Amino acid sequence: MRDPVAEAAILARMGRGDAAALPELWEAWSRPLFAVAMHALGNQEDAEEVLQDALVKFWRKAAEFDAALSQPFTWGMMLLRGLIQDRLRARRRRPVLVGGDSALDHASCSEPSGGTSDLLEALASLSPEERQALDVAVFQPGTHEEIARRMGQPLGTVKGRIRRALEKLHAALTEDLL
Amino acid sequence: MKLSAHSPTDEAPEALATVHPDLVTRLAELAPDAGQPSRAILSAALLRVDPPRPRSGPTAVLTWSGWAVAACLALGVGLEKSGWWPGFLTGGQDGKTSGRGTAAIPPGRHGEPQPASEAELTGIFKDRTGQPDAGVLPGRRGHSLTAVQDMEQLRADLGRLRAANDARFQGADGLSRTVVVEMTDPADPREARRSGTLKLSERVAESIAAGVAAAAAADKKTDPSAPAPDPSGSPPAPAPEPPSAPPPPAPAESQDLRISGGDGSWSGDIVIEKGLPNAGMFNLPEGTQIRHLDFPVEEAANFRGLQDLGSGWFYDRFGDLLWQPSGQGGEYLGSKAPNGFDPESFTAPAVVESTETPQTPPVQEVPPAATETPIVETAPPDSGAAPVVVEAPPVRGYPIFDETTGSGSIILQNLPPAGVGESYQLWVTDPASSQPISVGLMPAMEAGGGRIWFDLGGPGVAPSGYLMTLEPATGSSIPTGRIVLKGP
Repeated sequence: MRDPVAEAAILARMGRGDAAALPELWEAWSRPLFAVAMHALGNQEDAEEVLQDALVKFWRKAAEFDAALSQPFTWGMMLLRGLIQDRLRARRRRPVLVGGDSALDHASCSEPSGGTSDLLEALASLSPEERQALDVAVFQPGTHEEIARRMGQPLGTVKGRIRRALEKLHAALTEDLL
Repeated sequence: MKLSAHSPTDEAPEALATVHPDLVTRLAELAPDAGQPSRAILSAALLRVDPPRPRSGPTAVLTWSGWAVAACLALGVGLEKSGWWPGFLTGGQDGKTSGRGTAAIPPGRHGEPQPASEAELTGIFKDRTGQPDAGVLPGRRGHSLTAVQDMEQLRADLGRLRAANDARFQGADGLSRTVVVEMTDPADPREARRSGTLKLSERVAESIAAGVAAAAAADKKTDPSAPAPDPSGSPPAPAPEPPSAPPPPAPAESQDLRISGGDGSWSGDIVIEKGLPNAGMFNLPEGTQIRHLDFPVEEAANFRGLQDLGSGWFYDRFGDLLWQPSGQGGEYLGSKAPNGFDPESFTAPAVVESTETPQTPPVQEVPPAATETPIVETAPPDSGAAPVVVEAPPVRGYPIFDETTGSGSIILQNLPPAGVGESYQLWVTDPASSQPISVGLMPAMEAGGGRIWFDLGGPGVAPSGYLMTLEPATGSSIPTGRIVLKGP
């Protein structure tokens, strides 16, 4: 389980120039971020390079982190997504996962555990196409046009799938909260 | 909620965050686990976030061997200028300062070790400028040394640098550019204590004390004789006055305990000043040595599990400890009982009172070596005082190696002169080589200390360790003599 308070404290230390905090952030984030990068890029070398860039970016942007706006890991994911997107654009590589298994498909087959069970249930309510579109939107960022091109689907179709997926997730998770 | 289908999905995290505050986090964690990425990524990132360094001059990243080659640190000429870095460590790398030599490893250093021929040895310590620097070390043409005048200052500087940078680069392996290793005499028990290789650390001793305190608290809590808590929540009534008769001795767990790690004055692990812990709570390793300054012989019957073996010996069956009098007043020495120890068939030897230094449990005998020869300071003949034996200071070595140039130096301290027909030989270890690789024979050094430069032939070499052995004067192709220094 993530500890947003501790992670925010680490980011605060990094923002003050405490380099010792970076290894601590590494301990907390390296594995999930590496998993995301690997999933998005399908290539260990690219994933490691992006992860390294992400660590440097975390260091440089840590002072700008605002806990009122997002959770630390969400903030980190946003920065990582930007780097993944840059890498995808720069190398013009076709993401290997488009058309294949999505992380969300994989997750839906996983054993639900703890706090992820409600999310898994919500994901299960999505159609396979919606899950794939959401997977690409989360893990392989880009404009709708880029995503549609990667998926080989019409732009309107992709937009509609992403919108419906988000609406279903919102409905399911909001219901859980009530 | 209506989400705009026309916004680019670059904004998906924001949109997802409006669905659920930690949705992005949770979705990210659904990505298939790809394992733990290499820490080299972190190392590289740390290098990139390092504050700008001076563009000229040597840049160094230190690693220190506490347990192994560990943390690394970055430093440079700026540190020297700011007083952070002792001048003698970086001085001379410009090739202009006199008093330096270089030891070049013979060809083939990365393969099978080559014998150090006389011709090679003659050229080993040529000055970096190529000019012989004769006269610095008589009899060793071409050798030159820069004596380190203040080794304590060196240690202080290194310690300060380490403290300042260890935390910063903790666990950031792979950061090495210049590596500083501390070499110590592996046969010197003082080094074992100093380097923290004791079988039981102070922390364990503290744990024992903490555990005993916890046990005492638990005993107190479960003591049926203790007043039951008042369900009404009102403050408990004052405890009744103790009876007039002297109270029985308290059980061991409630005795005051004072425990510490070895204080450096003896070779054991734990010193107990008072009380007797229930060592059965802790998994004391084989070979644990305990010194008890005031063993509670008179109260032994009150300690559960403590069996009187006669002649002053006791067996603690909870901790499987064998206690024996040291012969110094109430002092006892404890050690783990040998395997299969049977207290019923054990016959304790007679106690021999002694007024000499307390006998410590047997430790590995250190072979006599030049490095450990005690210095005998004889009192003035007319003083009538007995000679005073002073322990020889420990021999130390500090190889400082710059991986970016493949060159380095070693600073030596307290190295006694080699015997007749003997020389010290420096070796590096490399994972790619099954045998240590000879760097060369060390020249004799004035006052047992100094600095010697060596060159491993080019960048990209990263010795994993260093050895210094005592070899025949002609050198050896593989280490054959006693290891005088080793590190990490």
